[in-house]
Amino acid sequence: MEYNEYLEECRQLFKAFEKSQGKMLTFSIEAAVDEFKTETELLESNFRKMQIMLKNKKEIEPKQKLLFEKQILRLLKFLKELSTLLPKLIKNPPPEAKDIIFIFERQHLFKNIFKKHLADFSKI
Amino acid sequence: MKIPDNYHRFLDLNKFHVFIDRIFFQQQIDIMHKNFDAAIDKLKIIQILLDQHIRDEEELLLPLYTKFVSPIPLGGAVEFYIREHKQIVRYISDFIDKISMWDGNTKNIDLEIVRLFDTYYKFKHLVEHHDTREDTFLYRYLDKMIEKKQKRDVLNLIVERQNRLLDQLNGI
Repeated sequence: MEYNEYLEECRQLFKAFEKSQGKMLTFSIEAAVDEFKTETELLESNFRKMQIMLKNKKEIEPKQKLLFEKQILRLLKFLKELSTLLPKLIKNPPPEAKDIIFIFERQHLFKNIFKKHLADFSKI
Repeated sequence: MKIPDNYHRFLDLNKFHVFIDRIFFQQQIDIMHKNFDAAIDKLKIIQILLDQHIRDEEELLLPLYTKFVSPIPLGGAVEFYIREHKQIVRYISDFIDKISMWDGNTKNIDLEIVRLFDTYYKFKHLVEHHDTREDTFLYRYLDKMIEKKQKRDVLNLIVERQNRLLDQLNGI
């Protein structure tokens, strides 16, 4: 996988991520959680591929490499948190609006780091 | 709706912050249920209440703070409060403008709401930061430096000014 390919995939996944957030607003939570599960798996696999690729790239400065590695680790950590939180919504249906708002706020933080990562990465 | 009015010390003004936070949260729930008119009404109430609260702070509290608190603590500079007040007011007005444009036919409404909630997060973060600044510096220092009678007079005046808003609020 090359940089451009990685960036393009990430951008598509970002869009899909926001789309599934929208699904939560229809309160069809089970469908949203299912969609998130797929999104999360795809995002995780993309980030892991880039983690491996970064190790072998000599043209990226070590400082920059470290920054990307840190961003990816934070993103993976967030994905792990979200994949624990989301299924809780379907455990005791129907979820309360406040639980969905809380998840939106965690997802907002994830998206912020994700956007920053894409902006930094596109400078290579 | 009962606006808090039992202020015995400046720190009690935090009750007002909690009151506003609760209305804002209810408004978020309205948005989730796509009940935009109800959300706008709540935002307008917040706008009126905040406007008065900010005037109380800028006209009554900050002059006392500048007069009696010396040196002004780091992180408690007067311009910080004023700047954040302006930002908060601006956010509320932008939210009202944005939501007013929405109806049942708005394209990609779910995505619009998701993005609005992203901005809400930034707003809530700003408010939290601002409230902490007021709690830590403005209210706490005023409680320490202002004598009892003056404190009571100022807080009574704040309640009086709040009560004058009730007519405006009932109109919404």
